Amino acid sequence: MLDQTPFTTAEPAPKAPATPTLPPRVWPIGSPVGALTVIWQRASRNGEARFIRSLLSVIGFTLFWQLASNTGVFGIFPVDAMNLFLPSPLTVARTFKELFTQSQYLSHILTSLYRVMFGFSLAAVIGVTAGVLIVSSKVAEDILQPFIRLLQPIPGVAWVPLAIVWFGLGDRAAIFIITVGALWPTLLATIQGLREVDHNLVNAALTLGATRRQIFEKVTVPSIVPHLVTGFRLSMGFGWRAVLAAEMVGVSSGLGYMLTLGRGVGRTDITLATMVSIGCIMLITDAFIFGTLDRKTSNWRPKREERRKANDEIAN
Amino acid sequence: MKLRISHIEKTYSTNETGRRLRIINDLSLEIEGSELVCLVGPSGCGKSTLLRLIAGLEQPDSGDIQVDGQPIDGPHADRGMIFQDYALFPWRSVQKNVEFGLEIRGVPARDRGGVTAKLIHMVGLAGFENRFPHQLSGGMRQRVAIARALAADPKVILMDEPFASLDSQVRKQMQHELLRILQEARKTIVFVTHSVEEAVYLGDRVVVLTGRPARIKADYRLDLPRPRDPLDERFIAFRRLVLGLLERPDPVAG
Ligand SMILES: Nc1ncnc2c1ncn2[C@@H]1O[C@H](COP(=O)(O)OP(=O)(O)OP(=O)(O)O)[C@@H](O)[C@H]1O
Ligand SMILES: [Mg+2]
Repeated sequence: MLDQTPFTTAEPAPKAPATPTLPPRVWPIGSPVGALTVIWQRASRNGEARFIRSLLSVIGFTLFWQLASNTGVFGIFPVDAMNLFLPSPLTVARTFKELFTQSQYLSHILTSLYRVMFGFSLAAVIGVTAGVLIVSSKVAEDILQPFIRLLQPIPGVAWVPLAIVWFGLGDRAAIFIITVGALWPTLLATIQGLREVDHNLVNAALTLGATRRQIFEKVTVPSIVPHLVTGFRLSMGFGWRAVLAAEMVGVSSGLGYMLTLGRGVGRTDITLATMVSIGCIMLITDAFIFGTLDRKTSNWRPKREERRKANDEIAN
Repeated sequence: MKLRISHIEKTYSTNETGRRLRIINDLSLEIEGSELVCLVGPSGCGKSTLLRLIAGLEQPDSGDIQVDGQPIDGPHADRGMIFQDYALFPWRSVQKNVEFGLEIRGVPARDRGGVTAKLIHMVGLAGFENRFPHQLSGGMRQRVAIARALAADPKVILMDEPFASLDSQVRKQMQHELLRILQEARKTIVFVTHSVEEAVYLGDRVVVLTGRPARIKADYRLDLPRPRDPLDERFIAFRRLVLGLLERPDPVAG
């Protein structure tokens, strides 16, 4: 042992006696199960498996619904009552098609869309302006803060009675309710965004010769964009909730009105088809507009740890 | 170029007692021509504060700072700064980050390309013009910051531990690059660092500060030939000298 040098090269570990490994058991390609397995494996490799899983889940649910509707929820209820209580997906799809050829239905959609866009735009303008005021002036903050605290927890729906008293049963009441309902996320996002502007970036811009105005345009505004995207996204959702509530309760047009109309005349299929439309419209605006914006601007935010470091530095 | 700091004093109020904490005490320093001045001092002694004062991001309580005979008031493009965490604009590409100073000055877009292309090439980022900061490594980001500072054509560049968050390999490389870039750009640099080795490797001058409140403890001119060899006897001797100064307790401030 003594003559051993401190440096030795490690011997490769002796190989274990080779046991013949069995090939993994596969279904014969020709069989349906085998074919499906192959498709599934291929999809997994391409990262499509998760999408397919979701798709299967939706298909499964729809089949189950169809079955439940056809059998009176498996014999619990009389099948005749199902048209009122649980119209089948096929019926709903047929109604959907039928509705889409009616200008009346399309105009209800447009009415709601118009109201949401109008109310949302107002909310965005008011929210951003108030946010800027609050962050830039202590006086403005003190004046506005109590109202924000008080009014913010009140959901948009709660404004419906007052809005009807003030504006009557029409567009203006709906727009008012949407504006009040959609205001808060934008306002709060603006305030938070402005407070989180990275100090270091402002200093960097200053030492590169930027004026106050240039700092606002080239540092502050881009810094708060990602926050605004989040705020607008939430505001849009709140706006839709508010418009539906308004239209269901008093304002007799729009998608919310269609929901109650379907129930009123015993056409639950209309209600369901309307619900599906609402879901689709909200999904499309959210995923396509805000989802895209969010992805585009997500790297504009300072990473959380960098932000913490910057704040530590200020605190030191 | 002449930077003249005379008898500046800086205090901060501490929130607990309301007493004012003295950070910089009667500090004077003159820097002239295109030299690289390294500032070293104990942690928390006020090095960053001194740089912020020179940059004009903060004002001294008394004393004044002049650039070419003009007392400074506030930040200005003639004093660029490079931060430890790069402070790049995350929504701007490399190209757009480097252009920032020109854009601020109102140089029309079509005239910016020439200057920025040269600088981006100089810092070794040609081909990365359209990348965004989050797509770059730490060393690359710091190069962008250097190019951005140079593009604004400042008289002095202030660097606050610019390489501290880079790993030692990249750090070495960046020190080397900095020297190469400076040889082309010929600027005055005030370079704050924790590392005595870095100061001795880079500096034309090494200024040692005392513990808080900061005063100047020693100011050496280094005429070791470049490229410097950290294993060279004179390099080591000098390093030992500065380290000794940092370890020795400061004379009590009067
Ligand atoms: N805005 C401030 N308010 C109060 N105290 C501050 C402020 N900025 C810095 N200080 C204090 O001033 C002292 C010097 O800070 P400074 O950042 O200049 O030190 P430093 O030499 O750069 O330290 P380090 O080597 O850790 O970077 C520290 O004790 C710090 O706590
Ligand atoms: Mg510091």
